[in-house]
Amino acid sequence: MSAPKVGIFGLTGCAGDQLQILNCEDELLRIAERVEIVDWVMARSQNDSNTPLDVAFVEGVVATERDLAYLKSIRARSRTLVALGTCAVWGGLPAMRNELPREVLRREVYAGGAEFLDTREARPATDFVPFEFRLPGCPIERHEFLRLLNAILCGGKPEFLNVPVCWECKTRENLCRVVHYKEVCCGAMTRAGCGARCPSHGVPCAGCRGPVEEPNYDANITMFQDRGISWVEIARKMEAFSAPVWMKLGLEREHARERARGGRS
Amino acid sequence: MQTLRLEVQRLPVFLSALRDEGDLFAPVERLAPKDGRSGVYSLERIFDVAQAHPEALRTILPFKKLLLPPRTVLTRARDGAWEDGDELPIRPMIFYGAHACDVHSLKILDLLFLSDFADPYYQRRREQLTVIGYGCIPDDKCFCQSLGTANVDDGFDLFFTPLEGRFMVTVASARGDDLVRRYPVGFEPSTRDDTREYLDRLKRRTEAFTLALDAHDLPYVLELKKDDPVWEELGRKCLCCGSCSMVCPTCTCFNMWDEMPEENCSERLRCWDACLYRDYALVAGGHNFRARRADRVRNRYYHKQEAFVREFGMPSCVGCGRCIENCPTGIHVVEVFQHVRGDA
Amino acid sequence: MSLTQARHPLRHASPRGLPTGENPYLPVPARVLLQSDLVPGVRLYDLRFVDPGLAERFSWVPGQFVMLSMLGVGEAPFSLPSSPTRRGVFQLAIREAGSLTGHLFRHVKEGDVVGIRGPLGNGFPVEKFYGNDLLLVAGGLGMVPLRGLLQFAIDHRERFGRITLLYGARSPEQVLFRGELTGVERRGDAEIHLAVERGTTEPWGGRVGLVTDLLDAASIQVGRTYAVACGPPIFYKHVLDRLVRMGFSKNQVFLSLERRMECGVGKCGHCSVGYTMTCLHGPVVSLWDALNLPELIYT
Ligand SMILES: Cc1cc2nc3c(=O)[nH]c(=O)nc-3n(C[C@H](O)[C@H](O)[C@H](O)COP(=O)(O)OP(=O)(O)OC[C@H]3O[C@@H](n4cnc5c(N)ncnc54)[C@H](O)[C@@H]3O)c2cc1C
Ligand code: SF4
Ligand code: SF4
Ligand code: SF4
Ligand code: SF4
Ligand code: FES
Repeated sequence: MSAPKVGIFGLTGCAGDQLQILNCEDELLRIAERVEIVDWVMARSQNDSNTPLDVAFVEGVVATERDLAYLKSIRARSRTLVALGTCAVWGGLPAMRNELPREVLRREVYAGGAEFLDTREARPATDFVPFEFRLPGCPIERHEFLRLLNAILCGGKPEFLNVPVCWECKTRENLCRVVHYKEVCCGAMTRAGCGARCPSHGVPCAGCRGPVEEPNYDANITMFQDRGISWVEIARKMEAFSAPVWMKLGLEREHARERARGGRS
Repeated sequence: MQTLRLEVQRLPVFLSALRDEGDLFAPVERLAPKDGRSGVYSLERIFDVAQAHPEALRTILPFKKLLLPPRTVLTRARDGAWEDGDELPIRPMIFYGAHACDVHSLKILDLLFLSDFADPYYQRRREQLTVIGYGCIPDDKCFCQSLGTANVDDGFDLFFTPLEGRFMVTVASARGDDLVRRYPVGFEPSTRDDTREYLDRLKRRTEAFTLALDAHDLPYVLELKKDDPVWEELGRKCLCCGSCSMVCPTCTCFNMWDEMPEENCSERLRCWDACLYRDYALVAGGHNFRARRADRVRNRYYHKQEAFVREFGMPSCVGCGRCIENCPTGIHVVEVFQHVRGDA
Repeated sequence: MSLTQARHPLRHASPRGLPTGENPYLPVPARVLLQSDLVPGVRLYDLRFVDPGLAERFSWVPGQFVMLSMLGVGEAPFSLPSSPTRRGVFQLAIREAGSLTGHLFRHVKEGDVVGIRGPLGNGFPVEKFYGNDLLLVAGGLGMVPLRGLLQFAIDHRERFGRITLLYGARSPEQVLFRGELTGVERRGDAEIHLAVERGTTEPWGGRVGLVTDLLDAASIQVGRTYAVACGPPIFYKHVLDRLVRMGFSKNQVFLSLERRMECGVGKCGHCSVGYTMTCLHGPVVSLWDALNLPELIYT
């Protein structure tokens, strides 16, 4: 049996995930013995862009028509397709697929909730073609990448836990950023896997790995508000990764209200 | 049981000597970035006994982390054969600073992990654990008194209760007896004065409790309140972050899965899990037996105060207050039960 | 050292390992001897422990299950659908449902080795059934554990009165063990009634309808019968209710529960339904116990 053929591709994005792969130096050498990397523009000059692939990794968002065509061509020639990184997995619209906070939704229903679909052009690769695996992270975690690759090569399917960052944060016995520092920590809304890196370094979780399934946005916001944090501040933090769409809408509304009151904007 | 006394200054000598017996663990204050003091403790291995804060009421994680590490390699497999993944031998461990609730939670863990299919990973660590207790004075989050876990007279090896200038030392096992005989740093038979002062202290301690949970007939009350709106309300408030279960000394749920660190080598891991997480009861085909947050929150309280009672004759909550201290949204177990009873 | 031992009577007085080993988490290699498609999407595997001593020793009660492991893929529970009276080889009937089963179907060939630990769970209380009639009611894949019980009862035919099996499947193509069941009926070992929800092009002599229709038609002497039901949640919803209305006492009816499982030995909590650990006190429970659990068994 010949070595499985692998391709690694970037759409629009920072290439940070591909860098993470390059960083797996020692392991990369061992992997290179088991697979044949036939297409990796970032790391090689000679690439073969036609052979069918056993495994393909795709990073980034679809922001142009070219991206889309490229993505479709990769899908067409790959048996197993893996979305690499939060951009590819979630792009800019994570909140779309999650339970929207009912209260906010109710308030926003008349604010033209459908508009944003068109105003934002960059969307995650996973919106366009089916993927076998999704590996979030900004950038991805090396150990998760290696685990996934090893499993794929053996025909297995690794289990990535669908639990929040608090799970890891507690086992590391960090001082909770919410309880002890009254900060906006996105840990309870964000998928674990990073080892609670930020809270372990004394800063709140920014949510960079994208949301867990069914985060309780309402309760998180109430919790921050109860600790005296302003809506604007909450929205600023949650808008990045955890719940961009409706946080943006909520912010606009909040600003409009401030303006109407003649306050700061 | 045997009761001794020890002058306060002699204790560090004893503890330092114990480091020869194994790894010494005690509550240590977590460093905070600004003034250095955080008032929050974690259970750590110590080399300098002056670091120990045995009086600290709770560490973020309880000592279950020594017996059931958050992550264990259960089995390792190569070429179709599975073998035990534990790194043996397990080193002896001494846990200094156990309170009555800790010892009760140890008994609860023993009930679960040593009965029926005894869990070898737990058992190995348990056999290496020496428990040295330390008398505490409750704060506003302790409610062990309501659950009958405020006092303890077995299940530990040694117990130090602070009195004026000395300790009353309870020896509750042959292992504890070995230690006081092996390190004769000044243990003496206790006196009547000691007993009197101990009883005075006990009284003061009993009076110091400010939080109480009415646990009377709680399993049946819960049975009657299965459909109470309080569970829906909690479902709206709870983040399902799982912090309460991680920090609970008697929450023992775990998940198992395989990882492949290298080609053709697979490790089966066991990691802590919580019934509050969404996928906990999810099965193939997507059916989820506790799909709603309200179902999952309710399960946590029912498991502690109903299911465990039916199985083992006592609740699996020892009233340590860790979940109260660590819940980011301020869900308070005692208030929940007061609510359920209609008292609040 | 002495450990605290104040155990509830439900728990076994002494800790014990499994037949597959002292360490209940350690899978033991077993070889796939044969695999065959029972119906599309469901395969029957014949397995034998690599260790010959264990292969002979390994025994179980119908209704018990094992955990099947595959390197790097994980583990999942499967009922033992054969009777322990047929030693040496045991069978599993597996439906492709997700990652582990998918991997099994795609990659495992005859002669390959998988990991097994067990047997787990309580199994059917067969001794209680002795001297009585047996009514087995199966829906879909629920036929798998009941096939073990049926085989067992036939192998000890003299210990049971009348044996009736009512089995509902989605379509004729989905009927498990069809040839075998016809043989059982022909030999007069048991009465067998099949129903399919919809007929197809295939000639179908049986009934078209629901398994509950079979219950209406069957002649059962409730007073001397134990009923055992196995099927998906929706099946239980209808069948159990019907059995109670027929006059069955709730401790004359047994069912097998299916839950998420990880450890299989009562430790991890995943399979809990109220205070019952499905893997330890189940999967077989009486209807009375099932109805008295603080969580609904149908949800
Ligand atoms: C007591 C018992 C007996 C069973 N007997 C049989 C049988 O004889 N034949 C058969 O085909 N199926 C049986 N099942 C169901 C079978 O266990 C699931 O179909 C199987 O776990 C699916 O695993 P998967 O990895 O393919 O699916 P995925 O959906 O990929 O599952 C991922 C993981 O979830 C867990 N899981 C998912 N579904 C279940 C489930 N139903 N029960 C327990 N854990 C689950 C497992 O840990 C599994 O590894 C039984 C289940 C139980 C509880
Ligand atoms: S610091 Fe953030 S991630 Fe950690 S427990 Fe608190 S909320 Fe969760
Ligand atoms: S439920 Fe809360 S109070 Fe009770 S033992 Fe667990 S952490 Fe302590
Ligand atoms: S309360 Fe939940 S997490 Fe804790 S032991 Fe019980 S079932 Fe497990
Ligand atoms: S700590 Fe609080 S918010 Fe988190 S799961 Fe427990 S009860 Fe819910
Ligand atoms: S499967 Fe772990 S307790 Fe039942």
